[in-house]
Amino acid sequence: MVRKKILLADDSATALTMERTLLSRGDYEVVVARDGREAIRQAVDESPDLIILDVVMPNMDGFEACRELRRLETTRDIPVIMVTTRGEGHHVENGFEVGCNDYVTKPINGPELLSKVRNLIGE
Amino acid sequence: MVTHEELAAENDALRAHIESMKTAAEEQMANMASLYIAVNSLHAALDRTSVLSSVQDVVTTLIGSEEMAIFETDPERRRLTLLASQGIEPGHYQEVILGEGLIGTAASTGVAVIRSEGGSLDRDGDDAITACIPMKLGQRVLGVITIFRLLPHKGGLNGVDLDLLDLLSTHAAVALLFTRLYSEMDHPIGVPL
Repeated sequence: MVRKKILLADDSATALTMERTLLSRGDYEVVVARDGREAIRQAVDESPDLIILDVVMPNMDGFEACRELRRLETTRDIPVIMVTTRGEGHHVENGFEVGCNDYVTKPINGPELLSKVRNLIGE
Repeated sequence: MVTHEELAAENDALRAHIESMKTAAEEQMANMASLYIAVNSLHAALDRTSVLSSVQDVVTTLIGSEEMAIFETDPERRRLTLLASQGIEPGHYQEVILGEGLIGTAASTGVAVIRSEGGSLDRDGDDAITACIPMKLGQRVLGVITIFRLLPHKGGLNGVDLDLLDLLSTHAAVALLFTRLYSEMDHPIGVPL
């Protein structure tokens, strides 16, 4: 069976390790990007099944990266979960406006993230 | 005689029980992962700047605050000096007198100050402090990690946050001391990658 591939984009080493550790419980292949531009490049090259995208990143933030992912033909249908330290309504709305499918807030809640991943791409 | 409906209901109850056990296991796994990742981040650096930035990363990503300050004790001057900060006005905290306020008291007594409900969102100064964690090695206090307001959606500190704070107390101290000793070594250890 082909493993589902997830692209993690975050400039925080702690967040990347946390997400990777949580996802390692499922049968997922994980690729990593450290900023928004790299996330777009990796999304085009790797065609992941899901992208977990941090909002605050160097070079290009998560909102801009998500907008660009939705603009590109090869990446526009890939589901995106945004990760943000801001849980207030307008921040979440911004995420949906640029085309994310779901969002989670930091600090990352493991079961919540896993449940959202499963909802979008299955086990 | 057990009816088909009764068996189906029992099946549903068992399924729900398994789901809740699965969620509890995932939560437990996530908590363990938090502690493991925090230790790993703190000890993965050879220089002080990287250790300080790891502490900040752990506090933001695993505990949930973007307002913090890290102090070092200066035993001769009986002061704490600010090493790094985020989300606060650093000018107000360049120096803290040992024994004064929550930060100075945490340093002089070695006892952590923890407000599980989080610091005040409306008031500044000591009222805004969620936790002052003395960085301790044995009976010596090397500094204090102060966490001010939690992220608004965080609500308060939970059990694993308290474990993380406890872990930071010792491991951040060890990591900072190690970078200092390493910088004073005449010959670097190992070979560069």
